[in-house]
Amino acid sequence: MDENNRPSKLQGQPADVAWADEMRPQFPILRQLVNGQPLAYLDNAATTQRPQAVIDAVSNFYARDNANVHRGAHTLGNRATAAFENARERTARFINARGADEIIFTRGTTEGINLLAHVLSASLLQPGDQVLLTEMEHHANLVPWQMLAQRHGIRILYAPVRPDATLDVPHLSDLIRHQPRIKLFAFVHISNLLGMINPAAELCAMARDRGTLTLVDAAQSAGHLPLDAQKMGCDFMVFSSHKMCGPTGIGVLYGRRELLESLPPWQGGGEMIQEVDFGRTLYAEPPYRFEAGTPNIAGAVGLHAAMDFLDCVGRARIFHHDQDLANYGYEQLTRIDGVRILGAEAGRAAILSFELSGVHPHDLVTFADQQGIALRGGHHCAQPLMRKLGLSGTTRASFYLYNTRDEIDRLVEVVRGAKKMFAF
Amino acid sequence: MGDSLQEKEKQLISEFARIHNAQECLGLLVARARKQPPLPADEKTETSKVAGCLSNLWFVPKMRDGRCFFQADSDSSIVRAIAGLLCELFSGHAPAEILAHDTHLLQQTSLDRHIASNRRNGLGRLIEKIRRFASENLAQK
Repeated sequence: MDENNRPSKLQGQPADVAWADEMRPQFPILRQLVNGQPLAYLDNAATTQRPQAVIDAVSNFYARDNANVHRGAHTLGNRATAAFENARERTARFINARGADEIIFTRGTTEGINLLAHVLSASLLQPGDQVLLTEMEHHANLVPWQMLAQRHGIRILYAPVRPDATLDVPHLSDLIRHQPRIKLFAFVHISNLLGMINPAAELCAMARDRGTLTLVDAAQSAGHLPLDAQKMGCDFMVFSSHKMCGPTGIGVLYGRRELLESLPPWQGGGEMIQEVDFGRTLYAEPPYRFEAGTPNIAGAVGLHAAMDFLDCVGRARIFHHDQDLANYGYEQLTRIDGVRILGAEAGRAAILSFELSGVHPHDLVTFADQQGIALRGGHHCAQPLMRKLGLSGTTRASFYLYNTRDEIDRLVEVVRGAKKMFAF
Repeated sequence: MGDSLQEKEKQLISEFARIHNAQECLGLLVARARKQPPLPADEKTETSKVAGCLSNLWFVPKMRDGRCFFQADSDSSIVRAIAGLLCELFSGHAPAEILAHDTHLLQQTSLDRHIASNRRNGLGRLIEKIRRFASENLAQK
């Protein structure tokens, strides 16, 4: 599977039950009853669960190796530094960056975008320059640019979403061709609201042809399919550890080496300097230039374990399993009168965002929770798109490698039950 | 309307005391939501919206013959029912009575266990609004 192409629908794919049976015991949190029912965790687009291997890696780091990184000359300091830098190298391999110096650790996707917005405004973006976004962005890829527009006078353009909730690529291509001041095109790889997969490589190529930089928000894709930054051809990429089996509070900003070298620092402090005097400071080389202060060392160690775990399972297999669940869920849910799933049937990730006529999403989420099913209701941090689609909220079920068709059957029963109980 | 606030609260609590599980509780709330008269469309305005609630919640307070009357509506059945309970409790009472009554209705009916914390915030604001309205009308007298 090429992650940069839209996947085709897998017809009649049987659920890999044996595989899910192998996955589930590795996630201790799944071995519990919630409100008297086995937990069906279907809120993976918000955050995923952690396998024992990740929990152990974080716990062992604190139990055996904890110290501050980079300048400690003692044994623990060396171990912690090695663990932290190994995690950076592992991340580079995970997305096929050219080297570890292209990997900046952040607190997560949101911080990565804020960091980039800040440093670009202090260098490459001039007042009057344009940043192109899409209408399907998460607030994390909207608000930092709006703040920049207010502070720095840049302008924001939006590539439209079609009524079938796919990106209007011809319109987008026109914008890139005819708006010479677009300096950056920042777009989501997989929409957290719609679940639609955007053709990242195609979009990056389109921008590159016009000399426009690209930022890919890979928050929903990094843990779900093979990612290759070089093949995708993006200039920057961001993602969060907690959406791919890793700890919270750590994420990644990937940037092409040449670009990172040309960018100024974001925050000032320890770790990001080469030399400080009372009058001036020489900044460190990337990636350290962008990592002021003590980093989330245990988080990086946990992220390393998560990437090992995902690659041991196989990201192509995870994507295959996701696709099976998405297709099965789509088919089963659309059989219920009154259910409308946002987005097209094909070309989607394992995210089903739907309306149930006459039932408020939060009522459905509460009803499902009573039966041990974790869903999410609301605007999913995509209010502008919600408004454009004429909605105030949806219910979202999002799946991952430990979910099963049985859990989707339970979801379908709950939706039917909620319809009976609430619709009037 | 003769019952005191304490008596009314006791009656409402006893209605929920018969409930054995969360699903029955939800059933009772939905039944109450269905019976509750909706707010007229022209009263569902931005000003009557209660901030801080995940779903839309509208609240309209009125004074009649020295007594407060409250009405609430929501696009969520659960919120509509719980907001309706609070309005039912406090409606028909004088501002001084309302201000003297510290309600524990949500805790004593265990409804607070069935609603998410962010919904609790919105309903908490509704109680604040009821008390503020009472206080404003007490000051006017």
